Amino acid sequence: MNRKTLSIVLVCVFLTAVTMGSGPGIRLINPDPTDPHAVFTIWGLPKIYVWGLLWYVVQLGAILIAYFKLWKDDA
Amino acid sequence: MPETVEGLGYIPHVILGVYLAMLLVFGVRGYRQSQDTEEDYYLAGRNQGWLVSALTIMATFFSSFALLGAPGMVYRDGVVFALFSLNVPVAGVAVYVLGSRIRRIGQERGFLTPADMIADHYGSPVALRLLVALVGVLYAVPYVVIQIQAGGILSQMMFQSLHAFEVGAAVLALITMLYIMIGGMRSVAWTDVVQGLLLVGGMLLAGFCAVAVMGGPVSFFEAVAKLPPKSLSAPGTTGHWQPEILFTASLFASVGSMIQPAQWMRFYAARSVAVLKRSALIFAAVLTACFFFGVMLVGLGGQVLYPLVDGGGAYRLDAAGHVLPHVMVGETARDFDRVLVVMLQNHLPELLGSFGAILAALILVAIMAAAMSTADSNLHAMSALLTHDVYDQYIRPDASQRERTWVGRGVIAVATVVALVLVIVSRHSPSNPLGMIVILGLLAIAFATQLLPLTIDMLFIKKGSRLGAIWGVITGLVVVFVLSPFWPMLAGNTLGDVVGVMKRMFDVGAWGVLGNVLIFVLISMWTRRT
Repeated sequence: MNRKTLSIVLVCVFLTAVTMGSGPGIRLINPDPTDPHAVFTIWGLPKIYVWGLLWYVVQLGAILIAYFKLWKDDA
Repeated sequence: MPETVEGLGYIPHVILGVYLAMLLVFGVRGYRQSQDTEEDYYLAGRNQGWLVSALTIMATFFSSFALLGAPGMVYRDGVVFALFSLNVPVAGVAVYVLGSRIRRIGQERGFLTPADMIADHYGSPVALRLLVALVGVLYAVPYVVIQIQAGGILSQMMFQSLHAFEVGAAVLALITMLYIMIGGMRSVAWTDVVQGLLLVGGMLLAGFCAVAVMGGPVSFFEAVAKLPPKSLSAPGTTGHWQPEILFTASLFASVGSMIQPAQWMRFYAARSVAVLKRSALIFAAVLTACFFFGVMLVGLGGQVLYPLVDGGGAYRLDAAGHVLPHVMVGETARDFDRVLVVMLQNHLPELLGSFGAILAALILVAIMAAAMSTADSNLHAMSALLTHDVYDQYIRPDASQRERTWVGRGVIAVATVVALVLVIVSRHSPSNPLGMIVILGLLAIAFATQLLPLTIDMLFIKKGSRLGAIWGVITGLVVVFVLSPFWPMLAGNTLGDVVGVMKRMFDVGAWGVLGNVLIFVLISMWTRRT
């Protein structure tokens, strides 16, 4: 993959992670507090917390790839 | 005042005393190595290495917002605010993407402040320079006020005497003022190294302690799982953190914090781009972990140990209908920020004896460090803005380098005293307009974010015009001000429900940027055509 394509892919991944992790993407997993049958945890942890951790890992992965493959020391 | 256990003995006093003495030593050392020039006083000779740069950028970014405000907000609204941690990797990326370009241009042209670069690019030596300086002051003043307020809160809870708040706020303000005045950027950066290490350690340690006092991770999360449904879902207890608000706040808070004057000047001061590249990675990886695995757990633990609901599941409310913290934490809606200190005082010494007291004292000093490291950077940057962008340009253009650095020191002294007075007067006002740390912090960032459109244009697009930039910034600032808590104090409820509806949709800074970009683009297109 050349630098330009990799840049575009990483920008898309990173923006997706931000939008999903701390943006409207939360609605996909957000339990309804008024629903008596709503499930608030997964693996014993709050669902929203796990969701945040997942997207943190994605963000960090994109940054690590950019650090080693794209970012220059003398830009 | 809430009841807290005085279980820490004199250990915090000793550790705090050693820490404050160390800061003054750094101040004197910075002074001995300094030269009487503006460039040295404000940018430490543009020669900062990666460790100093990484830690001073971190320490400036993390303030009492991180150690008191964030756990306080999780304590109030629940786990949804933990997602705000995802703004930190965005800020990390901005350190490299924006910082490396700002540094390169700044070094080539010898710029000292953000206004130097912006005024030069758009060919606006007066209007834009003054506007950028104004944005810097609008960011720095509330941020310094928040840090001094945090010193007061900490002191009040540690010492519990009649004037502990005022004395604590004054000590924090005056010692910070002293070492910046003595050593300039060099002292600020060196103290930021110590403070940065302390606050990273303090954030993680706070999370570890919160889990430990509840018997380990399994029992911690078992207890958290039984919290009220609102604490485990968006938009949280008060209904404030709708995903769209959280998203815009995370996005603009991170980038806005990275282009505020103190950080901008740190980019100028970096020795090389490699320094900023490494700083960006450390920032994104380490600091986000400090949030997720550190202070955010304190807020959740607080909800378990000091529940917001009574046995019947009803929230404690004040006369205005605001949710209140547990009585052991505080009596007003602004007291959520105390939760970390209350937990440390009440549980750690009980659990771990004198070792617990030492840990608690270290975290308390880390809170102090977080507050001081942000206050010093912002006071120092504000001094640069008012001295270099106003005094040097319009009042005494022929002033000597020595005179300029002394004027800068004077600005720091005056700004510190004004901020201290604001904190103390506000504390005694029945409505306390300064309120909770996170709310005021986000407002300050919203002002700084108004530099974002022209920064992006200047570094990447290069199509904006001078008039577009000027009117864009003015529009952004006006929008933020109208949506701020200060507008109703001046104009009453003149805009009816419009403001309320807007604030429920997006973060205030995002609305400002929207208006700013719209006007910037329209006027730039129009002026380019004509």
